[in-house]
Amino acid sequence: MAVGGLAVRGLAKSYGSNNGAGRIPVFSDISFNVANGEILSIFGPNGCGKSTLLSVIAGLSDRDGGMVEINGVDSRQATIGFVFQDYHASLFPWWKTWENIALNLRIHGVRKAERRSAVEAFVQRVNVDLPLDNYTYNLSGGQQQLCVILRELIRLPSLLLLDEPFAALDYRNRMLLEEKLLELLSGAGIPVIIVTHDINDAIFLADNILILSPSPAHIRNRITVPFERPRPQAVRKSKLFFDIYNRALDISTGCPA
Amino acid sequence: MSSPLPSREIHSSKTDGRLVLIGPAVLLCAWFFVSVCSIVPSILLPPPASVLSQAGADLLAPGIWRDAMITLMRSFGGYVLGVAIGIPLGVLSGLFPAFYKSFEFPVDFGRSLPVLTLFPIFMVLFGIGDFSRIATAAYPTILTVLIYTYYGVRDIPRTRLMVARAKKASFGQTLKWVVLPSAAPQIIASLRVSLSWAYLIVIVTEMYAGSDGGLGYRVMNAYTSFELPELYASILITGTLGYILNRGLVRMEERFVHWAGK
Repeated sequence: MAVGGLAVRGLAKSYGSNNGAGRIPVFSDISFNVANGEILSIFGPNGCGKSTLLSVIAGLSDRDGGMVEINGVDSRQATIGFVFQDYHASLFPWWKTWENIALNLRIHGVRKAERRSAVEAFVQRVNVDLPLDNYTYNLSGGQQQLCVILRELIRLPSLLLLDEPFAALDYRNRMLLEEKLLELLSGAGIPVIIVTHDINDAIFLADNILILSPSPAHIRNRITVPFERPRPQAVRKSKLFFDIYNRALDISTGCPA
Repeated sequence: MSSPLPSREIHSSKTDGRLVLIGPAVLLCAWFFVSVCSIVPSILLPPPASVLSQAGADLLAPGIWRDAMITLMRSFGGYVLGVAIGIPLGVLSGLFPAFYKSFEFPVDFGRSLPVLTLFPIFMVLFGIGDFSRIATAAYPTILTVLIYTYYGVRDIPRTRLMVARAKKASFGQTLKWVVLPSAAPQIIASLRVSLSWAYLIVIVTEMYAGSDGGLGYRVMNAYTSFELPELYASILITGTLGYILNRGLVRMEERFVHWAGK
């Protein structure tokens, strides 16, 4: 197996049913790689198990079988950044914005003054304008999700997982944040997985798209997105973008290409 | 078209301050009216001036302060004991469903039991001294704080706990940075409600036999000796003290859990 990046092999997950009718499979035999520096979008219909797949990869849910390794280390021993869809519940409203961004530093015992200067230096370096001394409940939805993304990147994880990170945002905020995310990730050199049910987002953000079937999920296909980085929003209007869009849709709905 | 419902806009604090005075002024006027018109004989309901002057005289004498101190010490004793037991049990119940299930019946049974029925048992167990009163005040405090804390912890958004898990935060870090702050609005609300309960119950137990002081004892003493201005004045002072305690905790709630409901 490849040592660099994320390697997922034969991953399977099922839930026990409430009526004693045995176990209900969520997904089975999921195998794929994500190289360091690569962004993979996982695209599939609602309820197909995309979020559960991320949870299992992160070690937040048990798995029935298979293995997940990051740079050759079991994922449960690795540091993983996880951006949840519900940014409001992801943040700690009793802390100011900068304290939320510094959560990883705090967990690792970094002192308050050093945390503060690390956050200031980080937001300056990535050119982000956030009111650091405001409580997070005073931030807009876009600012709150940006705060969560910064929190996950202030100490670079071995793997970054994003579960429908922009689903609750309006179109303008979504585009702005997508651009910012790509900017933040450029040169980070870590594998990134973004779960989405929006094909447009999947194509714009990713180098590769993994298309899942409805539940119980299996991988239907993997599409490569050939756009160079950095990507301007204008690629969304290109013929190639539409071709990829149509192909992904055909694969997802099971229609012949 | 204007709304048929009255406006629920928030008034300025100055307007609010004035509005707060309306209720007491109406009650005072009604009391004055009943007294002047002799609707209730003044021997049973003394006029406001008589009660207020008695309350003023009481406040200038050391006796009422001693009684208030005794009541407050007993109330806080029971309250602190109840909070110290209620919060950990509530947190454990909220975090571990099996723990909650194990204690669900005794808690529900305890809630159905009028607390004052336990006072005789506590007198038998702990004697007629302070501790039986402290234990009686602790009992509803434990239940109130436990139940509010349980709901506060149980209802923490799952995502918030997942954030801590994803970061491999220790149990202590999760408790300190996620669980307790998330549940703090409910815990502080329980502190407010249970302080009123502890205070009220201690006063009632002081009205029983065996008490040698306290505001309840003072009220009962005035009643048995038929000193009605003193009875009303003691009740007025007791109520005012309870109100001050409650307002203090409301202020604390507003100041320390600014994220409540946000």
